[in-house]
Amino acid sequence: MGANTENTIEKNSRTNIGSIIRSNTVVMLFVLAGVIVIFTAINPSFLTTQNIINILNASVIIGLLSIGQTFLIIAGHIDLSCGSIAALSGAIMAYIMRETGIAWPTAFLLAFLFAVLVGIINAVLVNVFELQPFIATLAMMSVCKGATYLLCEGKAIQIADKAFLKISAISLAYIPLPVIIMVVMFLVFGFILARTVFGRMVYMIGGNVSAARLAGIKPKRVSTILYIISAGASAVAGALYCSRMFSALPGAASGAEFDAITAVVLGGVAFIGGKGNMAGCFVGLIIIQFFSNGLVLSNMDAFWQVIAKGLLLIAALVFDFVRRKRFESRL
Amino acid sequence: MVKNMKRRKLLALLLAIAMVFVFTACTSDGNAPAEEPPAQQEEGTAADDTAATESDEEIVIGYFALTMVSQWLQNVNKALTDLGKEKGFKVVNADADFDGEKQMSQLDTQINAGLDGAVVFIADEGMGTAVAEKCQQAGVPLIGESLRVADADNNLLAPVVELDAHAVGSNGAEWLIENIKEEGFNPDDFSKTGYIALTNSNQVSTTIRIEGFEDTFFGEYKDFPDANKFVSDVAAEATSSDDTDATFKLVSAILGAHPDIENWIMFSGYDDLAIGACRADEQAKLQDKTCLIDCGGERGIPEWEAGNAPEWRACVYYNAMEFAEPIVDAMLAMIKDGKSAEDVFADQKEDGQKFASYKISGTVVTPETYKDIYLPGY
Repeated sequence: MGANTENTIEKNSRTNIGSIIRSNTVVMLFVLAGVIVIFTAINPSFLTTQNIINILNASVIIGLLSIGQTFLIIAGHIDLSCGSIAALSGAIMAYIMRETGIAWPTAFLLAFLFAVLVGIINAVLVNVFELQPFIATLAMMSVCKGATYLLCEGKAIQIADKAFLKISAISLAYIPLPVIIMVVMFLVFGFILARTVFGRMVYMIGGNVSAARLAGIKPKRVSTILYIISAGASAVAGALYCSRMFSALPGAASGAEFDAITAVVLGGVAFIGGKGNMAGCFVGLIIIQFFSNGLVLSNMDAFWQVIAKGLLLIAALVFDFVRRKRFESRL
Repeated sequence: MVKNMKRRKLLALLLAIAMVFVFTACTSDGNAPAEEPPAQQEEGTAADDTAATESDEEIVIGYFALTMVSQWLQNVNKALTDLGKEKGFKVVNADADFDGEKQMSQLDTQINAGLDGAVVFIADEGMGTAVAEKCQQAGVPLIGESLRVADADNNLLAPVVELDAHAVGSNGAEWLIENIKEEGFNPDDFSKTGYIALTNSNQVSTTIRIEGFEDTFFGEYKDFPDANKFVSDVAAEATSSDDTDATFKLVSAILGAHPDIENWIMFSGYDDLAIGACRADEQAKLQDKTCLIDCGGERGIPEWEAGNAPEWRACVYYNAMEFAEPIVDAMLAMIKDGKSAEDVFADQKEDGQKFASYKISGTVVTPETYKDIYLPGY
């Protein structure tokens, strides 16, 4: 092996290590470690198995919503209606079960198909009528929210199907089933995003839609699939929410879309599109949930908690910005 | 060209769907008491009928709500509407959607349309003077619902029917004190007992309910360890307005972090918080070691009827009809009999106040007793 080859290997190796260190996900893992150390020092109960399971369980609804958001934001889109779709599909499912007495899998399937339909409508508004995704999905959020209140008549729809209610109570090796569902979905969609042709298409239309078009990609077709993925994940979130609460609530997941977007952005997904990954999104989600949980265990006043969460987000993003700038200046 | 045609067809289809939807929404039953024949038309003598119909048909009472997505406000609206059908007046409602300006504009619109009386859940407590002046100038009697129509010094500017939030909390505490041993607690030793206040600091009435409970309960048990007192405050969730899920997360965290505590007392400011706490409690398998008391009951009682939430031991129950009845009686007395607003609820007037506050403090019900007073739908 010649000296040149050795130099090349060494250079490549340095580049790989550099790219790992440059990775936003790694930085956010350090932030997560910092959060864990600080809150464990404040309250030793923070880093217990039970508390970590609680944190993961609390992450499920926002986590599922953030899967769809990750795809969409990387592709240069956004879906503000995902929380309302979750609430509406949960209400549809509960309503069908109450009115017809059919088993939950059928009711879920119908609610899921309805959510997919809403996803297609979102895509039509954005792709056919060329509405801004922010405005189109904001309008759909309002439509779904109103429809949920109409269906529920402003009240909770109680669910009597014991088998369905058990979904949120089942644990495998101490891990609640909803957490397992969330992690599996993160892995599957993370794989799709990182390792498939479709995933590369998502990055391409988010990075440069004209170049993607020239490369033979059909951006509208891709974004339609992404809106459907987002709506479908929302329907799963809505069903798990109902199972957890024993009922469909008209105000379910209200505002959860913003928490999901926060997790995605904190996880390093560029708001302008073209950059990010599912692992980063998961880490962003976990940071937010660990931090919120830690604040509660610290007995901090509620309004200070709100300020602290905002400061965490600002600090993490500024830290990431400074790190990138320092790296770019070295090049 | 073909693409444009497709777009036009889609647009036409969407517009058609929208029009059908609007038409359906407008023609659905909704809340249109004016179209219902007044109940009094079917009663009494023929002469009385004519007189009653002519005078009563003209009475229009407006219900100006903070937001109609609130179940409580929907229930109040329903109670007023049902009383309107019974007593022969029409109710029109307006949803301010948390917007004070919008509520003022809605008042203007209805006053111009011939409003006879205004029941207002004020959208912004800072605009009490403006609302009172507007109604006074128009000669429209005004009654506040749940929130006071007051000036900057909290002087009432109109009669109000409101919840006595401190008394509601205190009632819950008195029930627990009376039943402390039956609920499995040792009043001589609370070292292994935890207390969680389920609250929302964004809502003044809710924090006062919690204060009412704590003043009475911890006034009785002064040795209750401060280290065992916790707060689940959904105000910490700035971006989410799903109080149930927020409480689920907060209570899960508290329960998970204190495995040393053997049994729990929870007091909830309202039902949405209590449901979240129940589900967290059940997830932690602590339902047999918890006593949860809540204010309201509109969601708690259906939980009992469904056989859920064994830890939800009591509700300080009040319903919308308890609010609507005194409002309607007072409003009709002002409109029909010319009773002065200062004389409304006169026996409940506080010292130094020009107008009176009719206070409701609720009744404690349990799964064993609620059927005696529960009014479903209100």
